[in-house]
Amino acid sequence: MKQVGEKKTMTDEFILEVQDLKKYFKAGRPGWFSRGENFIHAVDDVSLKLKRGEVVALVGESGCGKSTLSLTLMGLEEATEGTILFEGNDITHLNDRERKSLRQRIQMIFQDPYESLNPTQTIEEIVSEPLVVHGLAPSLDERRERVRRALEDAGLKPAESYMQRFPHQLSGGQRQRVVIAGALVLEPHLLLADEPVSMLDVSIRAEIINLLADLRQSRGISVIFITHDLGTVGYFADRVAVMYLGRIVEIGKMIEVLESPQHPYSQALLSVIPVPNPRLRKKRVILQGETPNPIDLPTGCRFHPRCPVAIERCKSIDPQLIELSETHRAACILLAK
Amino acid sequence: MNRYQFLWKKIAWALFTILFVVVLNFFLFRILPGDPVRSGTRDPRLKKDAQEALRIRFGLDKPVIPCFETLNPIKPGDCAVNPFETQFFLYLRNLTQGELGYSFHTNRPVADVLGERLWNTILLIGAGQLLSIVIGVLFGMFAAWKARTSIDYGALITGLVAWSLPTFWLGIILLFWGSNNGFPIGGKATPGISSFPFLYQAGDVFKHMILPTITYTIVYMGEYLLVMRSSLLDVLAEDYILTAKAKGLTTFQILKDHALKNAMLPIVTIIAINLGFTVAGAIQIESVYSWPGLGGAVYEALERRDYPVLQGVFLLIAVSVVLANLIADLTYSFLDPRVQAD
Repeated sequence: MKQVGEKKTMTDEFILEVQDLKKYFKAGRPGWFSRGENFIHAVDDVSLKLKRGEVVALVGESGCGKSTLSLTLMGLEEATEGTILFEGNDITHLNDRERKSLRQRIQMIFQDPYESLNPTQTIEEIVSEPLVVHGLAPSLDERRERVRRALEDAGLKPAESYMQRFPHQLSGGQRQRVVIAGALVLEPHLLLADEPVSMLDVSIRAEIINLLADLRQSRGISVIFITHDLGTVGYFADRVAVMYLGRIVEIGKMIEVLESPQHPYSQALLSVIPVPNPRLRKKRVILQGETPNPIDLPTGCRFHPRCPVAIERCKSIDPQLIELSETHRAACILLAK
Repeated sequence: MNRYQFLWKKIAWALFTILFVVVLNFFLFRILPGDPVRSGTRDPRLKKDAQEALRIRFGLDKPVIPCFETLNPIKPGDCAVNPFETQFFLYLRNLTQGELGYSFHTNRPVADVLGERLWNTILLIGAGQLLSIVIGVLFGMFAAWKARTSIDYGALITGLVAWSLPTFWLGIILLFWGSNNGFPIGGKATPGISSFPFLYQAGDVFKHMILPTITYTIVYMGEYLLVMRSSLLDVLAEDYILTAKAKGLTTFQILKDHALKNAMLPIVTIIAINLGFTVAGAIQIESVYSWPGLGGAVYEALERRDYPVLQGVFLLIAVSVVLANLIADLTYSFLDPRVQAD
């Protein structure tokens, strides 16, 4: 595949570099008596680097900004501040045409396969649409062949028996495979998977995750895998980033974060994963209280109102990511030695 | 269920409905108080034997059904009467032969009366429907596309106001306005116009149509606008629209390929139902503008207890509504593949 900017990107180690990304939403209109405007700090100062062919899992509660981050990376939301470099090019602010050509290389898998497929289109129409829109594979035979290949790569075999069906005739797992095929057909370099298994039955989840892992092996696609379920992370992520209230609070190799989490929030998240062996069960850390309001953030460390080990200084100092090892970083002042 | 089973099921239901209406039609009007012979002639000097002759002429001397002489007021009669010699049986037999009977009032075949009126109604209401659908759907789409802007709010308010206007009131207002601005304000054509060349006649009918069509369009446009707007807004909030955006479709492509087809579903239903009632005419508009349509015919026939005309009109309305619904169902199954699955 020849693409613009390929020469430059092949030498680059990173496919995606996010620097100090912020995405604020206006929270309603300012009233007559309110002072200034309120903002929801959905994504607040996120920096992230993704190597070519790497899988990074973004973990966090609902409302922590992980979906907003993926929509911003995708260009479906305009970033408020910060830069996004994709294959060495700045893609933070693009016009429609540049955005369109970028869409061939970054694709997204949405959460709900029951909602993200147009009910009036056949599977073939759904999967071939991106090809038509981008003017790839102009001949019908070629297009059909690529659709067939994408469907089979997504595990729908034989593809012919699915092509003329409608979404409502497929199961949830099959639908999610169609969604994946629709993303794969453009042969993207980066795949953003926004909770791709959370709406599926538990029995199907492993299949879909294995499929993503296979695709990463066979095609060398980089994946940002967004989830609130730490249990699914261990299957195929290289690195894990834990998000809390729009910030990354801990990031490191999968084994580092899952085996020895350093941030109190990550520790709490991990402690509640069910462990099959009762002898290995540890004490659970149940967080108290609700996630704070993202409009009116707590002072100092965002996590301090719910943190089981918070000290007085946490209320005033906003911790930065501290390097614990070459690959492992966490944002907690207790870790600063 | 495959497409043919679906089709047959829908057709069977449609036939059953029509059959039910045929029976209901007969009894509905005969329960109404009033004597067709007396209210039909309105002449107190009409002698008893002349009235009796009229009764015999229209078959009103026969019992309605066995055991009942009349239904208004209920007058029990002979149960041993030959069921084939009752009004109900004669009505059914005539109907199977395509015979709708003669108007009690004008003594003309009902089919002729209805045919003439039907075309007038289709001309007026058809034009109004077409205009209101086109304008309403287009403005509704535009409003949804420009959601939460002043264009959207303007369209929303216009639609709500238009839909809530009383038809007769709007008709009267436009009538006043039209009479001061040289528009013909009543009837379908200027008297005596029939001796002029065809194009001249057509122009005259067109002029007569302007005011009632505008009235009709304003009132119905609101409905289409509001439904189209909200339906399109619902669809635009769906995840597959975001997916399409992520795939790289332009706004226009998203609207054309994804949003409209799904958003049209409720509109198809409303259009079908309204088209069915097109035949029924718009009684209010036809009364205000003295338009010789079916709606007016219903009104007149009701006043005169003209059973055959009423039966004919109601049958026509029922058949067209059932047909329109059938078409809506079939269009629906074509537009939305999920429908057949139920």
